[in-house]
Amino acid sequence: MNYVSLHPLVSIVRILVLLQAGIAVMSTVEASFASLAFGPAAGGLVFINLGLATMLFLLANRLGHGSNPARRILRLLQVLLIVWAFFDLTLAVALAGRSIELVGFATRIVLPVYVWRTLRRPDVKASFQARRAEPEARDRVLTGAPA
Amino acid sequence: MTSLFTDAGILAHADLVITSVDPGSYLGSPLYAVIPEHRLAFLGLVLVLLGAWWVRRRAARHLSCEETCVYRRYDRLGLRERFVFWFITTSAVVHLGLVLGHEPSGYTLAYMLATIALSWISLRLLTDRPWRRPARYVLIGSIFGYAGTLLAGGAPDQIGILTKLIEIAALAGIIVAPVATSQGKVAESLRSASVVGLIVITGFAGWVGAMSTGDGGHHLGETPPPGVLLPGGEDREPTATEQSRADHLYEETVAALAKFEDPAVAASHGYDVEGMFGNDFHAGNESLKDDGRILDPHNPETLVYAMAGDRPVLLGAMFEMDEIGQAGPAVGGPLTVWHAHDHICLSLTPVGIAGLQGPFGSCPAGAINIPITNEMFHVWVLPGLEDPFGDIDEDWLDEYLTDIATR
Repeated sequence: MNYVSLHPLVSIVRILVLLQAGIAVMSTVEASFASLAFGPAAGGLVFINLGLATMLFLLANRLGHGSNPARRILRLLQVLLIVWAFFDLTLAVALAGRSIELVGFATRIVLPVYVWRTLRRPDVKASFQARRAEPEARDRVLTGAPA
Repeated sequence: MTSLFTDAGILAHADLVITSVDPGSYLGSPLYAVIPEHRLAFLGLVLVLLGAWWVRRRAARHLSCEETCVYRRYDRLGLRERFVFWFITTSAVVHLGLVLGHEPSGYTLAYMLATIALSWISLRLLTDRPWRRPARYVLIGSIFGYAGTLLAGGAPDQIGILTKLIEIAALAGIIVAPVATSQGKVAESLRSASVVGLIVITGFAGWVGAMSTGDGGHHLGETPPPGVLLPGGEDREPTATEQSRADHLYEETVAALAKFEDPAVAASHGYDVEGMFGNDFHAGNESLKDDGRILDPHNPETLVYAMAGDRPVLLGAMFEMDEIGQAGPAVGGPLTVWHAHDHICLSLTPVGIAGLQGPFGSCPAGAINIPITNEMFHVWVLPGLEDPFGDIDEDWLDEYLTDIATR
């Protein structure tokens, strides 16, 4: 089953955003343990990461409904994550001459860059705008029908 | 004050002091590395990426080939099927690399079975035969199989964690609906939540595996737990001279630290004892850091306390080197091995230690990653400790603190 007008790449982006949400949930768990072991410094991170995880999960869902605001917020969120990752990477190189590891490179650079780039593709963007112009499509589920 | 341990003569001993250490030569937790047996699998991963690019180019050029040619078949796949195809193929190739990279064992048999099963699914997907149901079973089996291995004490590494992320993504490509529908909202949310759940299970298992693989990280030749870096080398028995120097260091530190049993005295000397809690509270003294004095028992850079009920107990001192990559003087040879820390998460809200970088390569949002610290070395001054320079057994410490609290 598929909506008429949403670009197929959006379904890939949804999956990747769900992975990001899962990683944020894991970070929340890690921050909770850290706050028990190291004190209140990590306490604030629990709320930040819980908020991020919830936001990513809901945005992945809203993206599937063709929500253009969700697309925009996700794009902004990805930019923040990419900037933060580059800040971290710069610090690692400057402090110790170390680069990012394989998993970190995949989850912190490749994944957000792919999501960000995909969401700003003109054809993806246009598919969201087309749905906004055609609100009845929201409730129309077509099977293999041409757009 | 200059002590025996900051004497230039001792520091100049070539067999005791490594004058400079390349940070890359440390031994750390496998969680943050690609272990040697997985290098072929890593190569496979790179080859699949190149292969994906090549097939994509060829498929575009071979649309006029026979109906059954592989490029035509690939071209017929939907975008999402291609995504799942490449992720399952990647996992198959990585598992093949694991078979070739390990000595034959029960694990290699499991890797081989996974390779066959995943390749079979890739082929079915490409040849337009039913593949979703078997793919679900194989991927779930592979993800839980890995988690089980880690929970049983296996060591996670970068290849293992990345492969599981790829498999979870492939599974999500099968179970999560392409776009949200107005029907079955609850079921769809549950499917999305199960993807999140699989990530958490894999991450949790990764921590358990990494922690149970670590040996403590205070003696040469040990596998450090996550966050600890040890200089390379093998453990050995200390010489009589090394034993004597270690004993002397311990005695001098015990005598010098006696006055700091009262945190108020420590505070008057510049140690930050505010907000003391837990059983591993590090009270640093900024004025003693980068001061050029190394391993001076009278001026340790940090004091370590624990709370016995509401009473603070001095556990010992932590000495620090002035610069990253500078090796500490191992005055007692293998008894006094310095270590550094890596992948420390530093919270900015407020500033403070916020744990270690997780299996998925990041600190919690709002924290930055400190990739490596200066070398450091603990001397524990508690009476009755078997190894005053190593790990304090947590059960022993709990008992000791309970005893003090009830006095």
